[in-house]
Amino acid sequence: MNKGITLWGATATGKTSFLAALHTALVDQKTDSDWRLRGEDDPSTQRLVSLTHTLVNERVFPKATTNLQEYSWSLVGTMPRAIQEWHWYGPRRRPKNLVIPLHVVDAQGEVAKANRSQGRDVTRQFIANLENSTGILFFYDPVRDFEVGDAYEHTFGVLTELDSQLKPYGKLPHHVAVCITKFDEHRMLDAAMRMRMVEHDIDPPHFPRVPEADAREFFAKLCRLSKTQTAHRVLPLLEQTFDRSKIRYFVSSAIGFYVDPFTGVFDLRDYQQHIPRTTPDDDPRIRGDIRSINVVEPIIWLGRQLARTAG
Amino acid sequence: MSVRDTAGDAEGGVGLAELTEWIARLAPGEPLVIAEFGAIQVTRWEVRRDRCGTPRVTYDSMSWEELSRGDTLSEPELTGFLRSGDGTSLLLTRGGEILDSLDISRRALHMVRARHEHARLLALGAAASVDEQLGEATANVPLSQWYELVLLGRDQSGRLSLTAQQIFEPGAKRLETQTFRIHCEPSSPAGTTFAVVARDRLRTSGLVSMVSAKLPPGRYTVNATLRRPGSVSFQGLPVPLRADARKLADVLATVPARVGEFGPTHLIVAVETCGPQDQVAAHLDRVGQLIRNVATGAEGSVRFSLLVYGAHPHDLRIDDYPVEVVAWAAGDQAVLAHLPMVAEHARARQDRYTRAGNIECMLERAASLLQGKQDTRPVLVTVGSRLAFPAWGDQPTEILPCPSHHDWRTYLQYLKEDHPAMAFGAICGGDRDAEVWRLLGADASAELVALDAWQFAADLRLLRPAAEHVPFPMVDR
Repeated sequence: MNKGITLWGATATGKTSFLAALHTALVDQKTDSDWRLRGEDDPSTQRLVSLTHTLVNERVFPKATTNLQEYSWSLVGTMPRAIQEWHWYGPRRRPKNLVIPLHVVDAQGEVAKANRSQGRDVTRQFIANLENSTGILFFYDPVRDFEVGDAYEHTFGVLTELDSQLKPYGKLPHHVAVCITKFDEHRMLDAAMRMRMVEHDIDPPHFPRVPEADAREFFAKLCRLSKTQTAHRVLPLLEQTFDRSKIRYFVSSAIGFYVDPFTGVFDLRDYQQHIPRTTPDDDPRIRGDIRSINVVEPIIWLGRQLARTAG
Repeated sequence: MSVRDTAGDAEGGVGLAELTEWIARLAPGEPLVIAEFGAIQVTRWEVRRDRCGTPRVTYDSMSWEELSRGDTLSEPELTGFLRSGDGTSLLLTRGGEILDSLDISRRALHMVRARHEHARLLALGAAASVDEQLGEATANVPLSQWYELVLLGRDQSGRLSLTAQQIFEPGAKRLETQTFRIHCEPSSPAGTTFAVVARDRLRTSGLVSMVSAKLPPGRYTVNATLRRPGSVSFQGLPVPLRADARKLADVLATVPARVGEFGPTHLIVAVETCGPQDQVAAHLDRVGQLIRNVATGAEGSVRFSLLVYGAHPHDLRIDDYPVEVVAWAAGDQAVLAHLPMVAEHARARQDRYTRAGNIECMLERAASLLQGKQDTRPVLVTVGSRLAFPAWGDQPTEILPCPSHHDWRTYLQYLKEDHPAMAFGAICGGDRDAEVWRLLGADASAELVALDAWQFAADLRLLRPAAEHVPFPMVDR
């Protein structure tokens, strides 16, 4: 397994937007790890710049991925107090500089459809990438699943093929960060509030957030609301296929909520960040500054698992 | 001495003055019966006061032949015909030619007098007949109720309400006069109706008289004369009034809800100039059409204002699109001259958010500009196609809120409260059923593609509707 992290999710679940927000989210992070994203080759660097520019500067969503895109990026940072040294006056801890390779594979949602007949080669390549990955970022868009309801079909198809490829294993060995995306959508926030799973950040802009401890339950409840009545099987399917201890859930948003620049504070009466398309010629837009939610956390968690796996 | 004298004055009979007082004292529904014994018949006169207090006289006659059994006058038949009760409200008199002492009428008179000892005799005096005597007496009876002329009042918004001009008080007598001023609006072919009603303390008793004439609109000083109870005449009008046989309720039913207040008016046109060019052009075209029609057809003075609004871009890289006051309380030509420039500016402007227009900011601006100005009646006409931005996030529509969080409902309410006479019209190229367009078009609403500008302006009381007729005189303010 040398491919690092693969992004996996049905069509339009927010994979590309997640990647586009990642660089800025790392810059904005408020931890002492100072993680940042770096392109390791020219095309990867160009793509990193392009995605970030589109989302952050142009405030539009990057075009969805076609077929399969591979980026060679690295997560560069420091782990504070990671190295313990002994001196005459006793032990001392100092930070450790880390470069975690992120071989990000961003695949078009369609490639993983169970009944897809065309582009079989691309699907095989995608499965091979998953097979070789240590970490998987799995994207679940409850809004799309409520409207289209293709999450289970997509997940089942991919996992069946992946399981078949990795026969010697019992449960598959990957670390899986499940991102329940588009938390900025009002239906998502409403649902979380109705389920009493929302906490507000202490720091400005005091965003609402579903704590990591509740994220799995939130995911489970949202799956039950899906249009197809099959989405509730997505969670058991993931947990039967992967080691439960290697799965973590994050309720995320690539663009975050809108914050009035004059107040700088989240306002429950005015938080819509996504401006939907209003005419056929129009593109969906982003209203305010990008303030990602739980974009850094899953990638750093996976990065650390990669670093640990690599020794 | 004639028989007539015997039955009247010679015995201290009831003369004209006493008869008048008697009628005046009649309680509602109480009858006064006068039996007139003529040569060939007996006539029963009955006087009652109707619910308006007006004495009403009815009569019936039966020949002596009909009241006789064979050659004998039948007393039961006679008393049955007279229905005179105990005789306390019975007056007796002779009528017709004076015959000899064997005259059957004399015998009948004596028969009735013998039966009703309280019955008194009526002295005709100078009157030629009972009819004439009663006519004179009932005319002299003073009024027992207030007489009022039905008028219409108009509030600041032009809404009409029924009111009345008191013309005579209880106790008023024949030929008393009262002078007052009225104002006549254009009327239907049936004319302006002068309806006099009686009022008994708090309650209207009924219609007293109704006359009509096709009067030219204008102010008149009218002199009302009480001809007799139940009859009022009016002088001072350029056209003679004629009796109107219609029912008062039917005339009342033709009163329009409102009539135009054609005093000073301030027409404020707010136009949406974001969106496709052809749509903006249509908006501006309607603005021009409306202003031209009002300028040429208005009866009162009208000032014109033009507000231009677009849409909040909701894009931090683009400046907002503030409401522009292109003209305020100007002449029509000054406003019309700005329209090409407005179209040019609209073409140059970027339309970044297409789901709503700044109606809420326009209303806030209009409310601010009109604050404290009560000298003219404002009329706000909004010409556009988009919905308003909500004050805050609106989940059903997902329309982003106004950056200033103006609430269009609040400002619309402010305008209505600050200017009760204000009228609201909407020319909408979008969803006319949307709440904002329904309320903006509360008084007049039209589709962008099918505007009847004359009717639209008439609905807003900017022009007089062709079919608007006022059937009663109006209070002269």
